[in-house]
Amino acid sequence: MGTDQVLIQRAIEGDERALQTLWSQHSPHIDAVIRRLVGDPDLAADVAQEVWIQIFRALPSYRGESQFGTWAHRIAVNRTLNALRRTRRIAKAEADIEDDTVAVEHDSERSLLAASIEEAANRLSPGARTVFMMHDVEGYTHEEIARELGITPGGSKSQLFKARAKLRRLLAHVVDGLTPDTDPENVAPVF
Amino acid sequence: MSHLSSERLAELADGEPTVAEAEHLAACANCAAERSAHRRLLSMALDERDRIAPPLTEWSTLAVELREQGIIADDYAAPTAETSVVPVVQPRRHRRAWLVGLRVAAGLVFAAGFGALGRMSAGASPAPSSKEVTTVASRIFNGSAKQVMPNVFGDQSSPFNSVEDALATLETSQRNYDKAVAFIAAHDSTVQSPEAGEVFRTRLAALDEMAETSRQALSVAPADPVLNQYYLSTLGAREVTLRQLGSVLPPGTRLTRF
Repeated sequence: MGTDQVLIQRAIEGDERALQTLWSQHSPHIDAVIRRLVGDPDLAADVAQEVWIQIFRALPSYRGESQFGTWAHRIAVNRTLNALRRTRRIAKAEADIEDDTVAVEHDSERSLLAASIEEAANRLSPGARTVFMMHDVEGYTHEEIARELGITPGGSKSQLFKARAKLRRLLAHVVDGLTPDTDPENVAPVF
Repeated sequence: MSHLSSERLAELADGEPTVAEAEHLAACANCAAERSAHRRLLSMALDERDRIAPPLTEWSTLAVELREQGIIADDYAAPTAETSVVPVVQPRRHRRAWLVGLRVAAGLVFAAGFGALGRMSAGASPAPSSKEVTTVASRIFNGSAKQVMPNVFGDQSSPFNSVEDALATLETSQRNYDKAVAFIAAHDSTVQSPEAGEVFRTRLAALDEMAETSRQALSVAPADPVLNQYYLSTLGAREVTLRQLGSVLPPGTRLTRF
């Protein structure tokens, strides 16, 4: 669904109906981003409220150079990361990123398979989860992630590949199920 | 060369192998299969981006905060008949034509919405083309409304004393409509049905098309209060249905389209 400039102008002027319309149009996608990055549903709801207030506060700075949804998406990611940082989740994640001893999990995890990427990602460390979501789902580059999280691009890559390796095992039944006649135990080796 | 590590294979999901690694991948079925699995995982992750979900917030809660912060202006002057649909308001004769057009426009959205449902039930595309909408809307606002929908409203008597009076009633009606939709959703026995997911998906698809149709009509008359009411009501119903769909989907189910 497109977003009209007239609607945005009315929202800037404080028209509740226009603000509600923007929220109705975009909350399914924006809130999905927040949910993915935060994981915890209760915290995600708190963050979403904060994100939407920030989006509406920033409306006068929207110049229409990109789609409204894209612009709002950026704000949502930035604000969510700020919120996570405040709750010390990112602080822990940053410590994890510097800690190479955070190894990929062992074979025992095979009994704890996840049903979806979202569920599997919830089993990653907060830092790995954030890097994976930002890179593989939201499309950020390692340089952008490094800037957002205050880490190095190399740290971002390292965390991403660990995250992918873990997710690959947690989702073995799903990923391998996409190709017929394959035995998950044979095609998902841990070398 | 020994097998590639799991992290290196993860990196090769969207990276290029060295010459030695490429030779190994060509010769080792296990590593090649594992690299393919990582590519499928990456594809699944990309699909997540299109995922939508029920809103995490309630508008009523958010609105309180927005009002406290002055983002919602209580003194906002909503578009009135005098400021709406600018090109036709100056002479009295045109003003009357505008009012007819306005009323027919409301009928247009109703017709477009229910028309969409009819088309769907007939197995056809639920939405009229943008050309159809533009053509009809243009006819309305060029004063040929009578040819489009001459008797939609029947009785010409009105309980309203002024346009402002009617607009205030419209606004109240819209709020009551939203409350009614929310109430019906809360007591909707559909959620207990095994087909609930499909019912809600169908409803969402129809509401999406209706919203798009309203939006196209609004592009012709952006300040039209009637069209704005219908558009907002459709989005409100869409949001409620999305929440309902979210409540009946099994955990982990992806929702990207209807």
